[in-house]
Amino acid sequence: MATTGISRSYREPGPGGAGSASAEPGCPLPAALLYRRCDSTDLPFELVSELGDPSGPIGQDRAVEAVEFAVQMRRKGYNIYALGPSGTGKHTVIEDLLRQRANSMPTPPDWCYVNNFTDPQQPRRLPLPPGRASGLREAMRRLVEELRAALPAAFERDDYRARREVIEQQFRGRNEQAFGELQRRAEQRGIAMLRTPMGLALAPRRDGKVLTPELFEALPEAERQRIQRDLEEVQGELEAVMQKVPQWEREHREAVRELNRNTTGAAIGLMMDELRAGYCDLPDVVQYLDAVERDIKENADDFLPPAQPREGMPIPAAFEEAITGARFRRYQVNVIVDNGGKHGAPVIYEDNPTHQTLVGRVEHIARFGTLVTDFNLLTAGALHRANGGYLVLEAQRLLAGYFGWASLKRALSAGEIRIETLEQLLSLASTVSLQPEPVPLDVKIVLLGQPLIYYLLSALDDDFKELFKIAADFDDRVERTPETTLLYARFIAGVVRREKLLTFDRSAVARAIEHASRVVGDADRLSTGLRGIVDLLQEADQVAVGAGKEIVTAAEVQRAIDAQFRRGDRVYRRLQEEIGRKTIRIETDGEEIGQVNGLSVIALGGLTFGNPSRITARVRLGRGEVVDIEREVELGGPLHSKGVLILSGFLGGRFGKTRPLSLNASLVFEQSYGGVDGDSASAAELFALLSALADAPINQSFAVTGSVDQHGRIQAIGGVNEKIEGFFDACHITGFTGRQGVLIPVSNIDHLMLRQDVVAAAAEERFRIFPIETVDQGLSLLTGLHAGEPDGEGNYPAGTLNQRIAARLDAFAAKAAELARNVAGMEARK
Amino acid sequence: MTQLIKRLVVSLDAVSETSLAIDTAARLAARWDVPLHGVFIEDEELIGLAGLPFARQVTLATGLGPLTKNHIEDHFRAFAERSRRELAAAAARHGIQWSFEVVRGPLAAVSLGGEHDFLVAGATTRPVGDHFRVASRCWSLTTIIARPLLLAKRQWETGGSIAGYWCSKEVRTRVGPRNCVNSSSP
Repeated sequence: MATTGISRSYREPGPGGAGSASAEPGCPLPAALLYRRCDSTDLPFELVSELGDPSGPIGQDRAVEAVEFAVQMRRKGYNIYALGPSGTGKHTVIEDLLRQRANSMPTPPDWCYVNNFTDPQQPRRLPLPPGRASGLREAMRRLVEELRAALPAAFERDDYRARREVIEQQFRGRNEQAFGELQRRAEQRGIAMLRTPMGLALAPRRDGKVLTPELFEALPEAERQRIQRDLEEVQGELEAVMQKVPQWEREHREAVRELNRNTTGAAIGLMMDELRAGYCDLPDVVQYLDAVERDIKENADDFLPPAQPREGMPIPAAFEEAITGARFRRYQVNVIVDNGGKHGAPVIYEDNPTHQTLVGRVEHIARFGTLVTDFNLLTAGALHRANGGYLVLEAQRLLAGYFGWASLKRALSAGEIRIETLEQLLSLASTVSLQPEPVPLDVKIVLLGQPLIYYLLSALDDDFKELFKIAADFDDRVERTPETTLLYARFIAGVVRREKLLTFDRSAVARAIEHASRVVGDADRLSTGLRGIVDLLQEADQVAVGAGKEIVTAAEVQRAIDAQFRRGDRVYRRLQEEIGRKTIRIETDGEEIGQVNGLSVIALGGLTFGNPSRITARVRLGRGEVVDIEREVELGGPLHSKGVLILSGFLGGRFGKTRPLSLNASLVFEQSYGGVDGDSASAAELFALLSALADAPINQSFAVTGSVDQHGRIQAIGGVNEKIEGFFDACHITGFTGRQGVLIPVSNIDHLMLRQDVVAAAAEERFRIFPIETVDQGLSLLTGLHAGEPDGEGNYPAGTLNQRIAARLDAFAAKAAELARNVAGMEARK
Repeated sequence: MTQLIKRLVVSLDAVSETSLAIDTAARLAARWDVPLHGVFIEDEELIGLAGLPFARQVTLATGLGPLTKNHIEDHFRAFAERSRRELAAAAARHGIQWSFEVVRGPLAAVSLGGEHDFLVAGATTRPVGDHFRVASRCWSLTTIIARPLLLAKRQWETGGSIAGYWCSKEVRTRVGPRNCVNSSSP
């Protein structure tokens, strides 16, 4: 196969472009293609302070469009899931968009819970126009305070006392009359009425004393019978009178109650009328105040000083206070949402979304050893506070929060917020608790989360599709154009202002923009992971402040970048040291058969770095199997195994058409003790295998990265910059020879944003990057031999690599056939 | 005063309002620093009545029902125990010594205490229903004992005063109306 592949030109557009440069497969890349510079002289400002804020988020047009559609759509289910990698500014963008919209929306009402005088277990909700709930609460507090003074005074007045005395006298008189007449008639017959421990008894009396059984027995028979008859008659009358007593008591109590009602009504009528007048435009409130008035009239005793304890035992002050306080709690107004003084709809962010923080809770207080509650202990949840506006939640926290997700779905489906304890929700407790009237819900939910969570919820949760119909998909990168570059500069200007940083000059901005390309590993893209950029700006500011500078320049940004790497590079440096000490054996010079330097990427914490590995291959007579030792010992992931199996496909396709592949090959990452995954080393593994087959040594000055398909085409891989730099540092520590370099896929050229020392080494031709498109290009570079093109019959020219491989395979096949014949002969002789 | 009065005796029974009498007696005993002695009288007239073959009682709860000696004695024991507990609690509250005994006899017992005892008794019976009260037979004490006696009634029944009666000329002279307990009930 020819090594002169397709010529690839590389664009160098935009600010800071270094002009056109071209890449030729199999030839070293020019330094200009290893790093796309952002030329600060092309930036139209000196200092970022000259720039305004960006007109919108960078590169999130799709997401913004989705959010804008959703916020205008007031139909059910059009809630939003904003998906995107962490740090892409989802929260900021969403909140800005929501606030813009919310400002033009009406302020939602205040919400209160008040006592339900018919059934206190089911408190009533009461909506009031924004700002008026606290007024009602205060008015009710004043009312109770005034009544506590006014009602006792009303009940102390002479007219009340006189009327009460009349009632008491009437009923006392009725009792005394009935019992008195009975007593007189009894006495006329010589019978005394005695109080027994439980009631009344009648006793025959002589000379002022009750007859003893002995005296009674001593009486004549006729006298005894007369006494007994008299007693029975009076007992009958006593019983008749006693039967009337409960009715009299009821009538007495009702008469007193009616008097109290009238007295209370007269005392509170004016106050209640004034209170009602303030809320005459709110029928619900007026209805509530009517219920309050009725309850006060029915329970006027609560406002009077407590009666003296009958047993003479003093009531503890704390108990008295608690009882007094509890009596008036039912007239309080529990304002759970107060939108007074607010403009527009609320935008609420709840960072701990659990069942209780979302739908509110029923709190309890300890009172004399028991936990009690009432409507005053109902507290609002985030849904209450966001009602009429927007609620922003983190999806992962919501799903991990205790019953948060289930409660949110339930509220959205029902269109109402029902405050329930978890015990009620789960039917775990049978104790009577509050069942507050649900509050109608009108809210737009925005979930922020990773794409994976969105995809899982979409696949596994049917409710999710019904309730979250809008996906706002945030991109982690944006195309690098002059427009986005300038937008980035404006973003930096905004951060500098908001965070009160030292001003940045254009060189600093240019360096930050270059770093944004490096972060996404793409010279033609900029990262929208703005959190990382903000961190870099703050750290550069700190560096400048530490150095006593007033303006942040590219030097400070570079120092901040270096410091970030330095803070996390302990493991990377340790690996490099061990390469230098030959503990980890990496050859960067010389030649070896069946051995090549592969490159992998390690991500530890916030740092990603490249790591060279020695990949070796051994071949022997066999049955056409390529053994992946990593997979055999379960250190290889599925993608790595796939890559190795592709090698078998390549060998079979190229060399197995005219001969059996009578070989066994084994491949291994030497000195690899952790897992290996991904197929980015498959090209290197193929080179090692072909080197072993051809018995052709590979130049160890090179490292290789790239995946390969069954046709021998080299394909793009990730982390190309880190991989090149990893081998560059290994060469640095083992000693540059001027012959070292890395073979990368042509399709990765656009991703190159290499460190400046690598670029400088390439410019000085101390270190080279070779783009390759095919296996043959790579083989030629690594072995210095021509790969060779097959003729019409599939034979390769003599002395070429492929011819040597074919010859080796022919030899394996012949040997295999000979062995097969020998075995057959031995079996025949047997 | 303390030289003349050596002990506070409170008369208790099953039909009178005794709580106020106990508390009043305890407060007086504390003030005069004398021991408190409770005497629960099992009314022998009621026991005699219960012994009659036709004895009945009428209650609001159950109407007409039998009145037996056992029935009466059960109630006496229950009320005596309750009175003993109240007396102990009152004595503890006021930090005084106390003693308690149960005697059987007429409510107007002449054997209540000795010459230097101050006697306190409840002045009303417990009501039948909310309003009807039978006159307490303790008032008869005023005519037959020759020692200081205080009959305690509640504020809501007497307008706040505590009725006092002294039949001992010596005590009346020494204590005088000004020093009698004229505070409101507790």
